[in-house]
Amino acid sequence: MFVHYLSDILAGTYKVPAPIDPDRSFQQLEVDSLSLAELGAQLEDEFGITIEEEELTPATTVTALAEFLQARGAVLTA
Amino acid sequence: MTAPSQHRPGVVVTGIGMVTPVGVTTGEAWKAACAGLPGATDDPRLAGLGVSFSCAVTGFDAEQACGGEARRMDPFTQFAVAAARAAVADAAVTDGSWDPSRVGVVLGTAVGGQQTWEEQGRRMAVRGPRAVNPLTVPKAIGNIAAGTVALDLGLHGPSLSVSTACASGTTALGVALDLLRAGRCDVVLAGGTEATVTPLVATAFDRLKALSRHGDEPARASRPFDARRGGFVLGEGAAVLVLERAEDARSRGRCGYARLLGYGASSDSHHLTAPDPEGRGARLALRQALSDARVRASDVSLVNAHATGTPQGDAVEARVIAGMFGPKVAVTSTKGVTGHMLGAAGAVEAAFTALSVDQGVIPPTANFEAPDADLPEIDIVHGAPRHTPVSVAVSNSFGFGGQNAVVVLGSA
Repeated sequence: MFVHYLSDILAGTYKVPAPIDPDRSFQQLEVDSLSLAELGAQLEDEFGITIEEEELTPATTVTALAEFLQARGAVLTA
Repeated sequence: MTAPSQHRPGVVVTGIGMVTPVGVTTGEAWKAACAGLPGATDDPRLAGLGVSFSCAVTGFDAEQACGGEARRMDPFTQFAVAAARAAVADAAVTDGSWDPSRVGVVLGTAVGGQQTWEEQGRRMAVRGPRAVNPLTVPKAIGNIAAGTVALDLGLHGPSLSVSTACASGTTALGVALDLLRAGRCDVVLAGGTEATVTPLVATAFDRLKALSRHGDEPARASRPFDARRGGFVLGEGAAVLVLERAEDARSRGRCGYARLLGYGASSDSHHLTAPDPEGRGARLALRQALSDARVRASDVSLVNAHATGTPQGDAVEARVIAGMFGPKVAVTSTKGVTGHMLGAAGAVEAAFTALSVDQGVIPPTANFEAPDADLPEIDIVHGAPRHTPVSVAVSNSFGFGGQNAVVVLGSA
């Protein structure tokens, strides 16, 4: 669920070319450090959670971030 | 300033890009300026404040104008990037026709990324430090418009930001002229950008009693030189001019809109905000600009005035113009249409002046209805555009802090 949500954001806002392989890291997807910081802030805003610097790094994969959001109790609204 | 005997390359304006309250292309803006159509309207961003109207940019699609990176840009950068792209397209300089390491960018801004600072300040006040966007600093710092234009267009020459308040756009053109004359650059994209129609900035200018208060009729609020003027209308936008040496332009078959003949700058050294009542600083900048351009005051047929519509500022400028050029020179202030675009104003007005030189048309001063009996007689173009050849024209800009800048433009 979150994989799909994150893929949409990455393609729409961060212009990562589709199709996005969720098992690739942000570094492999060429999301730069500024965008990663921005993405973290965006997710904190959206879900009212806190994401520490070490929890979202260039080595994090989309799948891992999706699992992290799930574990933190983030709730997707329709 | 270069000694008169020394050979200097001529510099021409070969491209113009504009984002203004009266059109987001040069063609639209020029048409509105010539029609004398004021851009001031009620502004929902300022609802409930002492002055709730502005000359706002409308119909601007940032993503379309700047691409996907638009989200990383404060509006003052978005306006600059859009204007720079349009100017480069207009000049028809493309990859391969310039050496990117020899292309510079000089942009003026009075304030910088104010919308970002205000928005993030509100977020921090309401929701605490974690709500602050990590991109705040790179979006908002004053140099980032020039830096982003260079990044966007792949330019590697110097990119500079100049800030002389409301003279910034004109100062940028002067600095660019110096870079070209000194041989440091082959092409310079020069201009100004501003996006400060915000609740805080509007309130701050209002508290300073600088803004016009024609709330019932916003379109009539910006009235340069008029007897009933009462302050300026806050505007926003950008203009970028492509400047290059005349011989380079000629070699690729372009003669340009106008020559940038000269530049003068001075400091009043008088008061934080008020102009020198005798206009000494303004006169000094004008004299320097004419001397740099190697023209006489009698050669000048058009003055695009700084005139923002404030009682004192317009009065001092009218006296300076009458004293230096006499009653016959044509005078216009396009701020009746655009409002006061602060750091972008000088660039927009230089662009309009270049178009006046190119097309032989002087836009009217919108909302000028009755001359101020306390001012000397000057020939203020009003009511309709004037069709007349303009071979030499000056564009004045005067900023808070007593910072003055004047450029002289002439036939290409």
